[in-house]
Amino acid sequence: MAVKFFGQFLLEKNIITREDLLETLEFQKSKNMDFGECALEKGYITDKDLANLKSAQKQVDMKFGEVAIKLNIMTPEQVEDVLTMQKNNHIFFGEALVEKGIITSDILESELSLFKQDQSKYITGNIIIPAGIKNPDAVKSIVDITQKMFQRIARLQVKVDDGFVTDSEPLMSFLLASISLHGSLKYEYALSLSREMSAMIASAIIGESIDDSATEMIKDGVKEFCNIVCGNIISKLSISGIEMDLSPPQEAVSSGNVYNLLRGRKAIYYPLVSFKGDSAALILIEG
Amino acid sequence: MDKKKVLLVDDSIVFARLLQKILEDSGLFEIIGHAVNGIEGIKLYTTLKPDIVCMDLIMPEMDGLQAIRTIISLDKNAKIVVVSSAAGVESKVAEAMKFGARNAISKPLDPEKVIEILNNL
Repeated sequence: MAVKFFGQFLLEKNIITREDLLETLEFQKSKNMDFGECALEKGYITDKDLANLKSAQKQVDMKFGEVAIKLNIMTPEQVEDVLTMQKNNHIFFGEALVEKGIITSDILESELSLFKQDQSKYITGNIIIPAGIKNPDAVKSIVDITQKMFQRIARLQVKVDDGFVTDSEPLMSFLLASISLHGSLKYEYALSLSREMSAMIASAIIGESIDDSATEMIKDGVKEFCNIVCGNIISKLSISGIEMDLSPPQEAVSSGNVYNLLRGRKAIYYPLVSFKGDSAALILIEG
Repeated sequence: MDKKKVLLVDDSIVFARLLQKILEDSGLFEIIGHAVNGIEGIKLYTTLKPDIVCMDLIMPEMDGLQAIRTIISLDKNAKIVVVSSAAGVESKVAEAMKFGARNAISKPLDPEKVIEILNNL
């Protein structure tokens, strides 16, 4: 049992194929305009405003419309109007499948009901802290910021599965990048990522597409991503009076196809699942 | 008007490339060097004599704070701006400023803010 998106749920049940999933996601993307596109279409903002808002949003923990109001680019009424437009025009993944003729309305209704049942315990933004963890609020902030940075920097929507504690080394992946956080609290922060997710993150960091063969460049981009995430974590924690520092990011070493990250210590694992079903993990080692 | 010469000190090649693009696209700045740690940053500062240094704080070998302190001891008029993910930590920025940094910019970057800050040095 894991966090899934509806498409992934249907894929696992062989109701749709991977091609159906990707095609429908593209179709859905072409139909669903984001807030900025809607505001542009309504004539409330210019291209320059949009660029400014995107930059400003990366700096603060606020929604696009809230930032636009704060910067006096849009009025609250205009934001409301755009939100209504977005809501009225929005097409859900299931609806897109029906519109493309991949499934029928009857199948959508029954599968959606089963999906909701399956996912009832996962609520976006509801981060579960395993029992017995010290400083649960700090852990929650770390996971929350990681999730938000995936969205803000890499434009990757990830869902966070339940955290669990283990002393097993992570499974081998394309990249296991880690950063040591130390000070009032001490953690080793690590992200385990596939090549595809790593390439997406690195491309987002640099603002241009990175060639798939440029392995070192991709790894450098992911390490910088971890650095930015952890920098933002210690910034947020410092507001609560928790002073921490961080070390430069590193790629975890392995021997005989086994990582040497935990070295017998216990870690909290948070599986992360991307919109397309790629999986990754946030690993937090205390002490 | 002559472009201002900028030295980048950051251990991430990818991030340095992004910063280079932002600065050079503005038409106001020219990147004359890139160092990947504080020690290299000090060496390049003395040989290249840039108008501005963009300095990361978290780097291997020698971190940005030590590098700022050393560069300022060599040239008290050096214009150094911290560009770091830790720039949201008040104590870090205060320390960098104390050593002589002129300003601090957080990652992820707001390109317009970067240009504005560097242009106003």
